[in-house]
Amino acid sequence: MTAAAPPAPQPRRRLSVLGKALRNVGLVLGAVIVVAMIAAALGAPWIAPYDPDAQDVLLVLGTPDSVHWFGTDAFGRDVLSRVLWGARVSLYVGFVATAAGVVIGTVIGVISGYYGGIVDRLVVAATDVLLSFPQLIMGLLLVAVLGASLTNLIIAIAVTAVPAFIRMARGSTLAMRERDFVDACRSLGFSDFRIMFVHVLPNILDELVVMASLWLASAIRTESTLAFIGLSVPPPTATWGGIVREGFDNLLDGPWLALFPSLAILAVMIGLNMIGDGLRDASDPRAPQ
Amino acid sequence: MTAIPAPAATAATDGPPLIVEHLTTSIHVGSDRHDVVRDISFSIGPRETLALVGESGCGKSMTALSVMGLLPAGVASVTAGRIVVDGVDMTAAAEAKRESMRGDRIGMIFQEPMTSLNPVLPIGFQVGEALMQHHGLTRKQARARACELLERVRVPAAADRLDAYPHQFSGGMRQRVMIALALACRPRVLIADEPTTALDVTIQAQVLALLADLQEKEGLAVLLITHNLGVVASVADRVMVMYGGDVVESAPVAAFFARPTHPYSSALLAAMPRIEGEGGLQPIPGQVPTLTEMPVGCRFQSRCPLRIDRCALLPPLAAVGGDPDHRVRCWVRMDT
Amino acid sequence: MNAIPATPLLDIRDLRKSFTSRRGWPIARTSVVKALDGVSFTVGAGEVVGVVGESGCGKSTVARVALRLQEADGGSVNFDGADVLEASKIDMRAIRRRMQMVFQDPSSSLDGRQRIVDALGEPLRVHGLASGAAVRPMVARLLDEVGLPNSALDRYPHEFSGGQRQRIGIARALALGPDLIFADEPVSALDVSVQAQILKLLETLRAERHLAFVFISHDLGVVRYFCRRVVVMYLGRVVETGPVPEIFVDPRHPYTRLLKVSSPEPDPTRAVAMTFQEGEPPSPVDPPKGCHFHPRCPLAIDRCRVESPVLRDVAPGRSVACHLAT
Repeated sequence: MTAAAPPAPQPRRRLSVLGKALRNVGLVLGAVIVVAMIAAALGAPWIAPYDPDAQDVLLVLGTPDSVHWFGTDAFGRDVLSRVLWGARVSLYVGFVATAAGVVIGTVIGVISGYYGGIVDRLVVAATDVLLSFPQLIMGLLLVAVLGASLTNLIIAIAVTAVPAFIRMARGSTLAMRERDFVDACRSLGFSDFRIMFVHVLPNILDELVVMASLWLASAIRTESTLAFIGLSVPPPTATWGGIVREGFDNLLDGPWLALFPSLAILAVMIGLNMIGDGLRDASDPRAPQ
Repeated sequence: MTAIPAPAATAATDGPPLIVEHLTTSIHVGSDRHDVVRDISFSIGPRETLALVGESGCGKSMTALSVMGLLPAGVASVTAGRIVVDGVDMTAAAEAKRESMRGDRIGMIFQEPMTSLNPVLPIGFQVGEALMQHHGLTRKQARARACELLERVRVPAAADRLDAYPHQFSGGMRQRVMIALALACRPRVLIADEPTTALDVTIQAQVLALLADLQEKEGLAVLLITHNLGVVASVADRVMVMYGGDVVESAPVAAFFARPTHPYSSALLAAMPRIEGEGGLQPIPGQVPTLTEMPVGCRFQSRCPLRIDRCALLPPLAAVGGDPDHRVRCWVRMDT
Repeated sequence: MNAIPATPLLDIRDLRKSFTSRRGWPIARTSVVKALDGVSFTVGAGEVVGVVGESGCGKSTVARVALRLQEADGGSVNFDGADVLEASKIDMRAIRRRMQMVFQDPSSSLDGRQRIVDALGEPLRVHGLASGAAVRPMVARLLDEVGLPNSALDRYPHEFSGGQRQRIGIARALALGPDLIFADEPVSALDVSVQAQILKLLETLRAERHLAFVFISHDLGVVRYFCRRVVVMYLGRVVETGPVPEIFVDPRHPYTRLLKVSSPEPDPTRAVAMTFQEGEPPSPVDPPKGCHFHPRCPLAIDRCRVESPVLRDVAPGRSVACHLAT
């Protein structure tokens, strides 16, 4: 058809993101930690050796031994069981709040960045104001106003995540708009909705996933902190922050009470950050393999 | 090119400012080694311009980076040959010595002056910086000299613009600033890598004129890297056409355009669009093979209309038409 | 402008577009750039019109405004009887099927996460031209038309060379069966040998599909081969129009002449006229009064400094905006 012979496409090897991810030791290790934690939380009803709320006055502040691995607390409850059950609440709050924050923030950010104009300016101004509050203060204010319950806790933490994801999604969308392919889509008569969510969104997803994993850590930390100051799910429901709080009251008599839930928080925190860093490296095409 | 220049102390006055002998540059992919420049030799005398021409991936920019000693470490390296700049063997010299040569004895200008200039430092400082480093000038002396240099490259109102930043200049003016910077220490060799490719044609004409004028006054040896045969025809004295890392033809400019001899050279010329005159725009079928798919022997054979069995052996760069200056790497076209 | 058949396919009249930017610190100043300052030209069915000029002359803006990728400030764009600038969203969808664009950098205009069959199939699906199993063979036919094998269907854009990617960009523009294609520097990023391949392809497509092109380029050589007529722009205005090759053999506007003598030809006997005339294109933010070109013009007279010349006919099919042109 043309004078030129049809040139054969040249296959060029590009290591897939997944392939690169698996070579990243930190990422794999982080994933192992986090997956183990999630499994423990989901399996709590079967794994937990005791009822987390069952009190035993004979076993108040028992030291860790072969029967109660993490010891018992001031009411004689098994700390291991409470940490396992507490993981359910803490991780649930973290995941749901982060997911809500990502979805809402991304949708607003993509729309704002794509259309620009006066709406975009208002969105930017609003996010700037929201971001100027420290995350914890923001969460604290909201829970104080709404009242301490599981739903309100999730809302409070999600609200702190939204502006961060708006800013990120908006910035990435602006960068995408600079590339011709958005114009190419428009000249092909695609709807704005299709361009935003079929073309722009998948291209910024890598960055969003990286940030979501880091925010997840942050959400779990915020939940623990709020629980520590008594603004989380009311007792006796176990959450990590709440168990640390209770342990704190008996720090001198039973330091293990605060130690084990703190270690759980720390492990998830480290795991998620390793995942976040690993994903960032894996999705960066310039990073060495 | 027969005699190897004497030691640096005396060499500055005699011999070509730039001699490259049997240079081979390779990139390393894992344990594999791919030659991106194969056994290239040339020398450039004072006031002479040698153009290296070819399409992307032909090795012309790799040659320039090899000469400058700016190959990306760990990725590419000079694996054979010698590069002699102003009497100093760059391939044998220690890194400290090479560093002192760069910017002093040998200057370089790049395609995109915006990315080669530091956006947060004023122009006057950047132009004078090399003088402070290499010649120990004070800040004040360097500034005065920077002003002279900017006037020399015809930046209007140079004295007022010493404190301006790169983004305040147009593309053409930035390239002038780059030239001033490259010539600050009065090098003997200038490497120009696609110096006008990013510029509009009317500005390109001005910058080429400026380069030619400065070359004449300073007695520079210029290595011009370009894909544009029109630019070659306008400013070069000699031309070397590269394909897949090999020099396929080497000739004085007049002879080259009158009698392009290698099948790739003639195909390239036939593909060039022309505003006037006949011919042009004949496509070359296929495309440059990737590094891993390079054919053994002549690397152009996969696209060559004259291919014979013998092309599986690499032809030597041999004289053609009885002219020792006009040489071609082709079994079919060389003198027999 | 007059030698064109009575009803052109595309009729651009007095098109205007300004960009404002606020720069400076601590007090930002608003500056206005007139990217298009009353641009008019027409394109007939099956005709190839080149728009040439240097960076910042507004040549890309013409295409973007005509395709409503950006909104014009004034003027009109008439496409086969439809008023493009006033068209509703629904009408615009129909117009876009017939008016397409090919971009300079295909790696930036293709979505890197879409396989070729999806990238080319999407417009077909969106416009209801094909669905389900019918998409794949249609895309294969498009690829065949631009000289790519069927094996390209399931590959991603990064697996192709620059020239092949541009073929894909062209195939995508063809997908909706347009009558007119705006091609914005389609071969500028390509090597010379590949550039010739792509131009041959465009020429074949033009002939077979009776396509009209607005071919935007800075390279007079390329324009000479592909275009029948040329519009020369300088700082947002049309300074000369005329047929090829007359406009290059005998340019009437001093700017067209400068462009010609500055373009390097692969021929030492036609070397670039290297002058030291220090004229840089003036900043489009603050263009000179009168004729925009007068500060660089060797022929400028007093009148040029105050009165901006209008485009007037100087010969059949040729118009020039210069007080002195004959």
